[in-house]
Amino acid sequence: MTSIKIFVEGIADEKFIIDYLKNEYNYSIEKNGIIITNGWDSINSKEGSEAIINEMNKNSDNDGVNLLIFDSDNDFTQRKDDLTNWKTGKKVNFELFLWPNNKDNGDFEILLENIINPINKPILDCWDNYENCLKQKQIPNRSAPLTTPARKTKVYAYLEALLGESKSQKKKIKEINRNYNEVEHWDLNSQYMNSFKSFLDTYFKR
Amino acid sequence: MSLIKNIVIKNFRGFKELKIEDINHINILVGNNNSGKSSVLEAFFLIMGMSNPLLPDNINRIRGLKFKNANDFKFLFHQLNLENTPKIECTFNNEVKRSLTLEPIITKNTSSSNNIDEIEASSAAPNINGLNLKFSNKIKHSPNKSYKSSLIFNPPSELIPTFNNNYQEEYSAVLLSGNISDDNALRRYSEILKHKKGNIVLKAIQKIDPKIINILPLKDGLYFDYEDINELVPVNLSGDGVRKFLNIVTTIAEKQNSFILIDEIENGLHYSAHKGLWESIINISKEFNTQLFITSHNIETLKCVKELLEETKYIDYQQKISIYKLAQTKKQGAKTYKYTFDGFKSAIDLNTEIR
Repeated sequence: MTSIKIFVEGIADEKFIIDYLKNEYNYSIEKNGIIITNGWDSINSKEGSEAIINEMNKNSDNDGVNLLIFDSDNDFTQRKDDLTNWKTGKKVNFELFLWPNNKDNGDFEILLENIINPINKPILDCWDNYENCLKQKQIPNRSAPLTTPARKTKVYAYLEALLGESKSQKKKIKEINRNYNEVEHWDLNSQYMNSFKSFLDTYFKR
Repeated sequence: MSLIKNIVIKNFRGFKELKIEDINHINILVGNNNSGKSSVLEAFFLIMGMSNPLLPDNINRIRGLKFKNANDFKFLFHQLNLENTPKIECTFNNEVKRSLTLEPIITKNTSSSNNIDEIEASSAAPNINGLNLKFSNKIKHSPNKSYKSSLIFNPPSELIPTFNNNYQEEYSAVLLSGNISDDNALRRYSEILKHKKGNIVLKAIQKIDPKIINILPLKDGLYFDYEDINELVPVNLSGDGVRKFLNIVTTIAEKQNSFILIDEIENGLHYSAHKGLWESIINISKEFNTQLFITSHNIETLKCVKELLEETKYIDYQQKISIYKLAQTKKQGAKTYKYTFDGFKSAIDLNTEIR
């Protein structure tokens, strides 16, 4: 049984992959199977790289496979080059996938926006109105324009609108508690998942 | 004192080949059960005492392997195969190189039997009856100097060492095993007192029991003076943890410029004693200029070391510690993965399986 280790940026990615692997491949990844790295800036630093390099090498030396799944951020090609050069320089092995779909700029949250249950689209429309509204507002005595909230906040707002008022419901908004298999919220069979699915098929499809 | 920087271990116990590089002042080796941590310590022990032909037997005894017959020499050889000659080499930071090879001494078969079956049976497998320790020392800009000592088995149960008087070992090394109880604390503490350094040990032991106001070596053993007890109390009456703590601390404090190997450091110690022990290790090893190699399989130990070295007064020590994870891998055999303090901190924070 080949050991697969997945290196991600944060808790949100981790929970999503755990849920997706279970749902799509009936695969329960082991406790140390996903490693949170804190992203490109972290692994590119002296302090942040050593532990990750050791984990990758330990796995490769045992005939295991490393998967690195990061955000492409503002420049997909640049990030891909950065990571490929890092891989060569540090003499490690991994297969790469960049959110949202391994070809466009963006991040994990863009994937989430594209795989909401289509019925709930009006919620995101409301958010877009909110963002546009903010862009147009001028606050007296403030020269800097208002900041558009991060995409993460959009996802939080989406779930907050759908989940109930009780404490236990509110808990489910937090990244670590989200249930991506909840069909009322998410459509894991969306076309938008195709790139990610075919990437994972290589390693998880029986 | 020079520090060991690198070691290569070949054909010794479970290792076909293992390299450890960039060795530091304090080194912690972690790994799963049976990954070979104790064997690594034994290899260091052998190379630091390379001229001493009794050591190969000592390290077997520490494991509870008492010498019953000459075949037991095989326990040192990789896969118990006498054709796999154990070789240990190390380099110091002053570029001095040492090498030790354990060569089996094979008895010649002098069968005078005319019986065909007997002659065939006796030439089937070589019989070992001793070890030649071939060791060498190479100082920078000087030629390599080679020596030999040996250990021969004399039936029914005697081991006869032959020392080599041409070589004088300048270093001393101590191996503290995880399981056996060490009864040398009295002797060590007496030595420490002679050098007027008793206070260092007392301060260390007070970290785990502040009620101890003095440690006294008497003819029949070491005693603690507790502030609330009218009589002195034998140290042997204390729990295993305190005795282990005392063993470790007196071992490091006994000799200047020595090399200390501690196997399974946390065995018997409650986690509340870890911080005190590690503080003592850092302070005493600094005072006595000791190089340490310590094995552990406990995440609490590692977290304790991390937290301690993040304190302001110990920050300088972050550069003096290396952590190695030892693993038996499918593709690369036995391998160590090195962590500097920063990488180690990161590994613990990321909750990767460092231990």
